[in-house]
Amino acid sequence: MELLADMTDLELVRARDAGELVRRYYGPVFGLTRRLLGNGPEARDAAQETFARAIAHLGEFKPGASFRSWLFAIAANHVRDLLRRRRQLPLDPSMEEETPDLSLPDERILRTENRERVAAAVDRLPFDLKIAVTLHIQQELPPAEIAETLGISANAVRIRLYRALAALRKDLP
Amino acid sequence: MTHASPVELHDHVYGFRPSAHVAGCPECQDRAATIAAERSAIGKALSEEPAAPPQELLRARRPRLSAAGLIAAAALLAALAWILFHERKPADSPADGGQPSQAEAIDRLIAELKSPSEARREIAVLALKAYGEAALPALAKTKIDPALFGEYRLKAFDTAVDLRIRTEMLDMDFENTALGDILQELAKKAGVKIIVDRGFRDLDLKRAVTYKVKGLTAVNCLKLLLAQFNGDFRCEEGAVVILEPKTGVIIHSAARAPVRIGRMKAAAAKLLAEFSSDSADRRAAAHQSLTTLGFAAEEALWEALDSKDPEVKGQALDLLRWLYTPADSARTVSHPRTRSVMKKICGKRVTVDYQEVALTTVAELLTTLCEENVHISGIDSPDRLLITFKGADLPVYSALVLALEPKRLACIATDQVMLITPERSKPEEEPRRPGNFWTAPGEAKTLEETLAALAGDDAAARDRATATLTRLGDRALPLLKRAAEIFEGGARERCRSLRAKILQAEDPGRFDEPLADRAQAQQEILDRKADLDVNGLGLEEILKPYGAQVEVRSKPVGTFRFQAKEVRLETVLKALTIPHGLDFTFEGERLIIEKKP
Repeated sequence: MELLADMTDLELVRARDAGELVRRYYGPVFGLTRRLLGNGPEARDAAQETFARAIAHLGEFKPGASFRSWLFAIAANHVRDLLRRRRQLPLDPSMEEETPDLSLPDERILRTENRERVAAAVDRLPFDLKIAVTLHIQQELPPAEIAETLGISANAVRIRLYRALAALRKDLP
Repeated sequence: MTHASPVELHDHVYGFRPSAHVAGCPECQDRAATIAAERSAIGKALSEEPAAPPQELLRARRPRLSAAGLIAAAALLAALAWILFHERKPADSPADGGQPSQAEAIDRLIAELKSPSEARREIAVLALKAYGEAALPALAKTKIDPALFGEYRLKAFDTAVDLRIRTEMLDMDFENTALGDILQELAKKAGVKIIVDRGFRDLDLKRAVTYKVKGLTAVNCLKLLLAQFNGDFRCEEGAVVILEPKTGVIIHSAARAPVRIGRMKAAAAKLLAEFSSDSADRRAAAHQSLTTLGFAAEEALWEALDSKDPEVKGQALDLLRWLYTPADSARTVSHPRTRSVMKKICGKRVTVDYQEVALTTVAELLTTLCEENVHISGIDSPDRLLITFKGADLPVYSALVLALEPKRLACIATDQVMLITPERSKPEEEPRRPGNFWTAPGEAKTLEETLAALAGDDAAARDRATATLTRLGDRALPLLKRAAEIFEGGARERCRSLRAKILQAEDPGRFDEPLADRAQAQQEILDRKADLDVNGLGLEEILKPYGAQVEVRSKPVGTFRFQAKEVRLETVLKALTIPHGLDFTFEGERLIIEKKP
């Protein structure tokens, strides 16, 4: 007997088994939209919209690509469009060509009582940096998958992540 | 000893560039641990309780069905057919139309641009682009943000300016002159205004060029000049506007409108509800039926965009995208280079006697014969894969198809090379959908009215409609086919008989003709196998061993000689029809071989 748990994402896509794909990925997708849009109904709507679009375009999913990255890319583009329309898309004005000057972290982020402050500081980051941090640290995506999701190079992911770290260290008291 | 820099330590911890030094150096490991601890702290700060998917998202939709499930699905398909063709709610008006006028439809779409729903706005933009210039007057009256339409031109095509640049003959002679000056002179000589689109920022009007032409129309002068700058142009609102080519590509200069046949909101809504089903068969059947309804399902599809069920909403989005994408032709137009490769391998003839010849040798022979790059792709040890095939004076394409298919190999002409690949890696064809019948607005209106009249009770109007559709010839065929699927009773019969009458008199295939997917029974016929030892036979005789009903309306010239074992009927048909400009289709289970439209 074939168990759904044993089926790869590609097999589920080919079988158009939207239910199982939702089971696998609703949590991560909602986690991403909630981080990007805040803990309101909008994040839930955005997650739902992500799945509606993915289901409508399942035929366009390319075998060989990562389904998770593809889904995150749909979510990220949708959220970006939402924020852009509301003119709430803070972008990083600095150039991305160079790695920022990083030092070793001090204790500010490490203090456990700072959790909420750290999360708030992440929320204040420009969109492109916030999504890099969320995908890498919250969703634990490897650099190559983040690059695929965001349609940028792995080095650009690295630079965005380090910019985000530098900004967080600076932002926290 | 030099230790890792902070950036190197971050690269190591975050997995960008793992460092052997850091992994082996206790001091660097201590410093890396601080970074890892910070990463972990951020991770904890961002960690959230896992969220459960909403119930409507949670339905497991498993396509695998038990025998009982298949029976149930078959019963449902029958029920769907019954819903579609027999149950009529008062809201549905299959025959007499009840559709919005073109102007009303455009106004509704413009109103949808302000919808809070992103999906509705997306579809409205797509549909308005499909209407092209037919939507421009209405759009001009509103204060629509042009950004909504991206690079789409919201300006009407100017036929007077177009005519002028197509007829005005010019001589131009410039050496090292700024592009701006040349354009100014060209505008003066042609008697038109030339402006550069604001979006074309890369165009350097000061760049000096040498440009000499004699006795060329202004339009060709412009093409030659702008080719150096990768530019395009369009005549609009009294001027020639120079554009970036990407902008030019998506211009729709023509006004269009769909031919709406019938209005079946209630039946479509029932079909849409089927997308909530756990059965893949039911969902597929619903999709097929909604495609058949076409614009008759339009209203219900829009309503489904507000569905809470993402599957329903997703499918409605997908179907609306198809409805509002005018298909100029249901047949794929291949890349010009692909066509030239195909022409070559269909045109050259070959006599071969391969007795266990390595595939690599076959590829080499093909390269020499056709002067095309032939690559073997995705096949392990092609030198050990042995081909046996014998044929005389066959088009190269026929020989290849017949020789490779028993080994489950395919020969594909791409725009770059010829590929011999395993059959499974052939690019999957997009499922073919019926046409959605977009045409010039005036013609769309006439056709809608004519079809409604054909379905109506007024005998004189019916006669006039019959005469109009008969005059339209093959262009009326797909419309009559669709109308016969939507109308009922006498109206359906009239559509069928008129279609049959036109079919007898015309060569069909010019107008966005739907090519339905093959039914299972048809595919089973094509999968029949036979051993063939053909010596001077025509196509009809060759096909006899397959025991299929075949009607050969056009024959390939001459007879064939080849031997092949266990060949599928579809393979023989491909091999022996395509090089001769023929095509094969089905009418029911009857195989029709005729000229390619």
